[in-house]
Amino acid sequence: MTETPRNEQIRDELLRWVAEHRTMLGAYVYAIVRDSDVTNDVLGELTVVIARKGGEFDPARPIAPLMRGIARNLSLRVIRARARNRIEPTDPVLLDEISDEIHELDHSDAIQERKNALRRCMETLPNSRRRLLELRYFKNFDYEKISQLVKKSANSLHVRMYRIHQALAECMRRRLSEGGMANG
Amino acid sequence: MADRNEQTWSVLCAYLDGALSVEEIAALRERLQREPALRTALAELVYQRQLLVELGEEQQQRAVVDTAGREKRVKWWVPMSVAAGIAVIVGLWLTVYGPRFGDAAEVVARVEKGVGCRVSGVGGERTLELGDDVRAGEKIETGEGGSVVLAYGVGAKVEVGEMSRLRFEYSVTNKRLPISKLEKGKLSAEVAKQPAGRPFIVETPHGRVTVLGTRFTLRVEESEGGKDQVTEQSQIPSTRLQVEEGLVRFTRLGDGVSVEVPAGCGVSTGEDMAMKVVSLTPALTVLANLRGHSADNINALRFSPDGTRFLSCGGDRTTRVWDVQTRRELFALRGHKKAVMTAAFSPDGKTIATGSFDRTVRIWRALDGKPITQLDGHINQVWSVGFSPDGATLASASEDFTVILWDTDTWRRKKTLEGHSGPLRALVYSPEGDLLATGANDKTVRLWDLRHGDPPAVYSSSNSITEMAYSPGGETIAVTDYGGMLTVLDGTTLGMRVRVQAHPEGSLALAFSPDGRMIATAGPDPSIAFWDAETLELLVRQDTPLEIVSLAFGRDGRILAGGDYGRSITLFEIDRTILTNKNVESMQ
Repeated sequence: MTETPRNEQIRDELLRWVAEHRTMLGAYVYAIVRDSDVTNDVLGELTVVIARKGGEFDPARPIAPLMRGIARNLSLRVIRARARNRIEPTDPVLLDEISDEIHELDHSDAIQERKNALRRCMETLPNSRRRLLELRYFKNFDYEKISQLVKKSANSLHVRMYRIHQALAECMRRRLSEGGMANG
Repeated sequence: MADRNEQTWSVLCAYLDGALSVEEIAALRERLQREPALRTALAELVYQRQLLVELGEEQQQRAVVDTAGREKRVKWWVPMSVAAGIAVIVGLWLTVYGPRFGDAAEVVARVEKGVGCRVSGVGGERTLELGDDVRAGEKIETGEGGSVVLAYGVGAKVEVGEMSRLRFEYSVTNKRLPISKLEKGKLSAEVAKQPAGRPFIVETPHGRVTVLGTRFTLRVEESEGGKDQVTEQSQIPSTRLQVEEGLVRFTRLGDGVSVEVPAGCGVSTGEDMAMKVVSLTPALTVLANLRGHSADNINALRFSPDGTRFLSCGGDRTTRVWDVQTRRELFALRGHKKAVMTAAFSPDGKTIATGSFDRTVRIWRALDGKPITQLDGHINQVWSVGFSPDGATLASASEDFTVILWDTDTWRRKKTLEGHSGPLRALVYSPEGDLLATGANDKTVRLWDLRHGDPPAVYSSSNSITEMAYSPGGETIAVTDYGGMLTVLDGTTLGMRVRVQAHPEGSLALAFSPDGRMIATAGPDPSIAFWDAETLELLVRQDTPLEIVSLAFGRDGRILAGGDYGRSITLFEIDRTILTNKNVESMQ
């Protein structure tokens, strides 16, 4: 199919949108595939799909649900491939329940603010807790590997991790509201 | 309410970690449909995780840039003659033009290079940029991956590392004397010769560094506010000074005691810590770096009784046997279905026992690695195994809170030791074989009297136990814990003899030297530290590129093997002069 300037414009607009909302899409994909490397692969694949077929999309359709839909389908393909080898207890339908909430969090101008708040909240964590987060999310280690490394059982790591997430969420809410008040 | 909130987060994290059953997921879906707050919490959680991943990626990108920058710095720092020349030129420049820089009396330094830094003070907060002046009353904070190089008007260059905080003030007694206060993080300084009576001063919460012309590095380990609520580990704030050139006077703030630290030496101090000058000469020389494991984490290392071979347990489910002389892998023990966490040679060197996350203990012929048998009995992961000195019993410690004693003739269970209220992490036989020490996540060490069957002696620690080792003579037991403490206990009563904060973020590996004079520990700082086995005085600490998670001394005590959280095993030669530690004496 020949690429017209109009098609090219639609495609570029979609690519720009994906770049701007990468964090939101990444969160959505991560919630399904639960692996940051695979999340990156899916986002890469999403870009390829848009580069190839982006010009064919109907510009009248709202972009966010369209992109989430493609990301969801690409993620499900990964899940199905994995499920051939093992049970995959993730429910993509459940993820649909929160897609609006994820989208709500995603104002591209606020991403940096959220990231800064998260960075500062991490700084307030004790070294050991920060280290667990880094091993899990910066290095993408699974719990078994972290368990060997820090000599804690995987179960106790799960408990530690949800407490850390909870503490970070509370800290971020506090910081963002303080920042909001300061700005306002 | 708080409990309910905690429960919610627990379920949501379990869902994202793939730990919920299909039924539990269905129940969660129903809850999500009815509870908007739960939907918001899950959205927040997945969004937070994605932000964390992105922060990690950004940190990695910065690390690449930083590495490139560091290479440049090395070229700039290294040639001493050039450095000395620069110092002279800076000194002359100051003499002629110094007053111009100091026209605005409050300007302390100027930014030469910087990334990821904020400066705040009376004038508010701003992002630090190249060429900016930093004034007294202001403070610089570097974030993750951030750093800044400052040129001081008095002729000093200071590089502040990531996650650091440096405050600028003037001395209370001498209003013209600037003082830089490193409140946390790392700082490296190259200071040109200063006029007599006007030293360059850097303070930390624990001490004051006074120099007239030198190069040094300071590190401040910050307190995290007492105990970590999650790990319950205590953290002791401290300052570490390393002097690369010249002479530095270090004064402890608490009592005003001073020491002079020459080039090639360092000093550490903190709350309740002794202040001792130690040599920084590398204690360890790398002999070989061995690779063979195909997955990360070298969980344990053991030398054979005759010292000719050693084995390594890996996250790749194998145990590999190596020749010490040729440093080649002889063969691999394959059969475990999950990571191998522990292994031991029998005292006659003919048998190897391995323990794994697959809940089994396997027995192998040491000659060629042929499997002999598999011991099933534990209902959870096996973390530690050890043969009794007479070889008649094998002990295995598990996540299931128990220790099983196995008869090595029949490989049948002889006895189960129960008493720990948490998962076992380590066990070690006394050299006589009449006592067995076990350490667990319940923060206790238990000493089982195997001869008389008396109730075990118990030592309660403030943190979960990670490793233990008996001294070769059996007088003491060295114990490390998740809080980074190294404790020496009496080998027969478990009475506490001496204790020290060995690593700020937990001690993960431990080994007693065969002559019983030294204890080596490794932690995620990452470093290996050597301690006087009797007094726990720090002999030397050496940074390592990766976290070392397993350690073992060779039979002659001259070789130390370290397994890292990657796939490498490093064989080090130990500089035995660190034991004498007489090249530098404390000047207290």
